[in-house]
Amino acid sequence: MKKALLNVEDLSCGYGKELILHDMDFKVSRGELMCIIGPNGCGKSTLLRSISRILKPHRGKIFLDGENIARMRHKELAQKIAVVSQTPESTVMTVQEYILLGRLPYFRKYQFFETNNDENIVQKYMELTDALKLKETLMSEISEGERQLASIARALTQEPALLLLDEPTSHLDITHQVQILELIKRLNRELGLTVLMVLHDLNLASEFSSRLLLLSNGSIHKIGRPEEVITYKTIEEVYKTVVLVEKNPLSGKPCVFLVTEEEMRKEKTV
Amino acid sequence: MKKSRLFCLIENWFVAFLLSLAVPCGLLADDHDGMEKTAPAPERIISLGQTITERIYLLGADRNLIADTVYCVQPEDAKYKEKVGTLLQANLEKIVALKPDLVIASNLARPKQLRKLKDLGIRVVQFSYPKNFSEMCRQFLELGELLGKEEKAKEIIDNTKKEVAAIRMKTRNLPKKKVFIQLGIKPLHAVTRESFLNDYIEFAGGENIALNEGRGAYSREKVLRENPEVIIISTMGSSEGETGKKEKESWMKYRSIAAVKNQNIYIVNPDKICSPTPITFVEALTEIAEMIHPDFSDGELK
Amino acid sequence: MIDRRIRRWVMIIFILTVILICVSVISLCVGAAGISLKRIPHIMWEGRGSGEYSILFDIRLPRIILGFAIGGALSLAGTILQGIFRNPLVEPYTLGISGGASLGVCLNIAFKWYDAVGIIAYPISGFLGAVLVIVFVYSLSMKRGTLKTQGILLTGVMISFISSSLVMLIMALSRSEDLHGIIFWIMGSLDEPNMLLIRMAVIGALAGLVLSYFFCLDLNALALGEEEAIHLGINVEKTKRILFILASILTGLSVSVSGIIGFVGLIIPHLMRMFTGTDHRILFVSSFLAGASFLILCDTLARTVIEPFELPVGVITGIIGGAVFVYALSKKQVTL
Repeated sequence: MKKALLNVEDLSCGYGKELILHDMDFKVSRGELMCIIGPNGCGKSTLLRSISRILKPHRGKIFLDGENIARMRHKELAQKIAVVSQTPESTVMTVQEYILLGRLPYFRKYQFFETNNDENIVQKYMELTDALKLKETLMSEISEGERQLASIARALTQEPALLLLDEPTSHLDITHQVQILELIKRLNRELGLTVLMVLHDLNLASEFSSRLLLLSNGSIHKIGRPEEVITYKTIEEVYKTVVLVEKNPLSGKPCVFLVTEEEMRKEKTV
Repeated sequence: MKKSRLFCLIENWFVAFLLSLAVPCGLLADDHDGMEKTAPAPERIISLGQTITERIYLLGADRNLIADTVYCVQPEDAKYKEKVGTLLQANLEKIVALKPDLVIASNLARPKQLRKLKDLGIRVVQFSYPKNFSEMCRQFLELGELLGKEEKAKEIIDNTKKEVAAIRMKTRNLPKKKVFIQLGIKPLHAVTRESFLNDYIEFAGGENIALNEGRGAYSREKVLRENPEVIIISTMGSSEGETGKKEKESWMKYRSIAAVKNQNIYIVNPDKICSPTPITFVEALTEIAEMIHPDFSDGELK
Repeated sequence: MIDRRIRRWVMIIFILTVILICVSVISLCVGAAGISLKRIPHIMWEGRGSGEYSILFDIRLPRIILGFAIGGALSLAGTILQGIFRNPLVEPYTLGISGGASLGVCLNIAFKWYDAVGIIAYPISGFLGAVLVIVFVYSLSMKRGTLKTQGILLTGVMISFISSSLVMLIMALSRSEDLHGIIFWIMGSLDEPNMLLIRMAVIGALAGLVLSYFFCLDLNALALGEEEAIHLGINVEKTKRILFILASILTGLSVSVSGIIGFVGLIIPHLMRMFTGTDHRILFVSSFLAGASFLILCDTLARTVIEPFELPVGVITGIIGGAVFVYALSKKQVTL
């Protein structure tokens, strides 16, 4: 078995005295695209925050490539993990300047300017994410979807081993949603980038990931392949809603259909 | 320790070190107003105060006065001298350009500016605010020596002392009246033993109700309690009218005060009584004596 | 692209330096003493000795040098603080530092400490007052190891109010001679006679500039928000702490040497951002140079506009700075 890239051991953390996550224990293998799903407030963002070291855990350890992340220096961590947040800031800098910031973790002690290598890397990822045409535009003047692309490009320039994304598509229309998820899938496939992504849309999560982690009330309810995790039983247990789970006719992945009250009544009478 | 933190600490210590170096320099550089009696009589004098200008004229040294402040308008001739600023703020460039050999400053002059002038090699003498009449006389004599006019100074002071003695002689036999001199409106400020103006009351045969009041902060209630027979208002702006009149009106409301009953509330020009020359001191003293003792002028003195 | 940007930045620095030199030369040549321009090379040639030389180099030049240091320090402090707090209204005085310094000097004047220690008591008491406020604000805003930026601003504003009230209390209780001293000090001026203090101000300002450059990239990242900056590998807590202390020391130094000169730390960073963008690598040095030029210019106006009267330089910085800023605002969007 390949050595796990990310190893979360016995993690408990939260804000203040309150614990949001309890005894989390799971592994993410190199090259995996894992999605974290679960109802609101179950701790998805908190989990990402702990892994990116924004939050210090109350208990437990997180290992990246065998190393305890708590002991890594700031820049070292940023070279290994990159984070794409939900809503990138609309700052007043050009897209290129914004993306160049992703090279900061690689700056040497007294280095002030980006090297040519940095420039090339930025160029490469701008092409990859199709953000090249926005090079000179201000971040405040582009759409949210384009900002998200720029954010991903910036995370890529950090050349991380692990890419964390917190609901990257929640504010976007369906075209951009698919565009971004396709991009992430391609990056995962072509660059071998390990991805850990929080998604609220179960169907998208099912389509795009190799494994799913279903969180409920701060602990792991189920972890495994989409077929294993997305069953009407688990969804009902966690989301407390009745759903219908069918196979997507095109991809074969499980698909969740909402069951409205009317239909439930129809079912009963039938 | 991370390098940048180290730099920060180094800078802090460096600054603190420099600061500590500055203390002995500050101590060394701080002059007390010494009198250099060996210097020759100055020929180019700049005055940084109205009273100083008046006194220079009194001593007859105005020929050597090359500049004064914007507010030096007494006597008439002083208006036409070169102006180098105000009592509180002097224009250093102008002073240096005029190449004075003596600059005379009042206690209100900015210490930084005087220090700068001294650093530039200009002789500066600062007179502190006199605490009483005898100190005022002594300062006047000092000024006379400074300007090479000792004789004239002595003459004026002797005269003044004679006149003041005469006034005191006269008032000694008159009944002592309780007097309140008001120096400030908000907050109410009284003349105490610490102040130069207390001498007016004493020499004029009055009793200062606020004699032992420390710093001078006073209240209307205290005035009511002490019940002075004479109230003299001497606040800034009172000579022009409005402030003084208003204050007088507010006192008039307190009918229980003896001064109000007998209509003994007077308004005086603060410039005159707060910063007098020996000559104007006698004038002011006479005025105040008349305010306190209505029958003062009936004698031979005036 | 790097080359183009570096070229642009070098150009900006060059232009600002030229402006600084021009303003300094103008300031040297203009003044109440009425020395005509033609005579100036002659005076300089003749060297020390003449009164006019003294005016140029003992009165005007120290003011120019101090203007350089204080203008630069205040603008730099403003740039740093606006970068940390990501708030356009932040300036060195919003944190209550000037309030603390005024209170220190007020107490000095009221209790006559300068009689004991000498004229150096003024800057020392000002600096101590500033430092006390810094320590106070800092410790109040440190919660569980992080510097809470929201809390600091509020604390700073509160302290400003409390300090001004205390200052007014002292003023109400003091005699009129002391009052004048307090008011003049509060109004701010560049006529410090002690060359040692001037040198200290210059060294402090330049050292501050150099030190700030260790964190210019950090501030660039911080513009995206604290969390994002952490994601980019920035040690945000350490950066905030060190920069806050640096900006406070720069401010404390300025206030203790030259009194309260407002608006410079607020307006110059904004203006510079409009012209140079928000990259702190160019923003620090351009704010410094622009602030220095601005203060020298204002001081020149302060001492020549209605000569022989000298206006407090803070009045000029307020009026001109405010007017220029409003004009620039109407033309371009304010950016942070």
